[in-house]
Amino acid sequence: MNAVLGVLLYRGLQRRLVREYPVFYGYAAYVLCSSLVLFRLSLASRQAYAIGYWASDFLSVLFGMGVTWEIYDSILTPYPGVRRMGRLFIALPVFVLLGKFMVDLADQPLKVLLPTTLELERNLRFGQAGLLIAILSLLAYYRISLGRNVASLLYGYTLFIAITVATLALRSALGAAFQPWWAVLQPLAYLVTLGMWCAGLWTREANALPSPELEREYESLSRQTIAGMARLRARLAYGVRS
Amino acid sequence: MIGLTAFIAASAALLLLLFLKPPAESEEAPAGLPDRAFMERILAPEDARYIASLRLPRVHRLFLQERRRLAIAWLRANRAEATRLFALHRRAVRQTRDVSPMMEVRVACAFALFMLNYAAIVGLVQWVGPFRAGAILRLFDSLGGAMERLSRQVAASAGAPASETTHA
Repeated sequence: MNAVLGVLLYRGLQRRLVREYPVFYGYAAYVLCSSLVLFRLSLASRQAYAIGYWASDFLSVLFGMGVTWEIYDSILTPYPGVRRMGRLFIALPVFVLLGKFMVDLADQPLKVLLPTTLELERNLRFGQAGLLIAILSLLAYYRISLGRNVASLLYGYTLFIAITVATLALRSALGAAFQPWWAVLQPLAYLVTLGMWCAGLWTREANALPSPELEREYESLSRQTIAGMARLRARLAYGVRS
Repeated sequence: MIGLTAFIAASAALLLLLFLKPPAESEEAPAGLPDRAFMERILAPEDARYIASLRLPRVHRLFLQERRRLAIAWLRANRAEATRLFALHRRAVRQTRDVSPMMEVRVACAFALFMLNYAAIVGLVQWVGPFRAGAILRLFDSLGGAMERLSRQVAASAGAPASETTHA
């Protein structure tokens, strides 16, 4: 896996994609370095490795948040309208999570303030999943086409987060019984993600830009669309009634 | 357990969105609205009367099947136009700076309402056929009209003493 990460970083530097996606490549470099440090720790002592593992995992989750934001930013910069809607879409899961946190805090304050590392990671990944759902929904709703580079970033990361959230939740719920599955599924998901990133970021490809001819007055356009829908609705009923 | 379900649902939603492919842009090409007279012709009562007068059950069945297919094709053409209109709106909005989330919700609701109507009418046509569907819709219309008249009468009779009291 480290070899694939090394190739990814090398191609990023060679194709100057590092400038375009600095957080993502920073994340990749961090994962590569941390895995080397963890390998050294695993040789030293089991306890040191365990502490190092969870600490690096927590930092990688925080880095992941940055990657999600970078994906959002690079996709939606040419679409100011969708970006504005995006803020709302992103605010919703944040408020939902905040609400859940407050309810849990009132219910079990000690458990919420001192969660296990597994629960904390699971909750942070869940937040990331919410952000990715918001981004993917916006892309599907507004039919935004993506360039090869950013598409591989988004799809690869989404696959990784989807599998991580599911496996973390199952690990948390089922306990040690799920451990053998977790040990297989997590690295497998990561390997597939790395493969997707490598393939998508092999060559530099600019993001597809929207065609500028569709700039119109928003308010009147929206009213026309609503009126058109109402006319078509009336037409449906009238057609069958006639 | 609720927590676990939420996490699994989030994963499933992510995977679903990942494999969701947006329809090709070519689908947004203007389809053109089918003529309303065409539907009137499909549902012409004289055709139905003539076929019924032949007293040939197989021919009658074929006639009904064909008219049902034509009616559904007409309804689908309307749906295609609504979908095109909606897609056009979303494409135009992508680059607009002054997007209002409330207006977007209104547009989405207008489309959802159209689709609900469409699904209900297509379901009715599939289920009872276009002629009976038309009769049912006319019945709903007249019932709606009667209810409206009744509510107006009730409102008028309820309002009358109040106005008399005011005048007194």
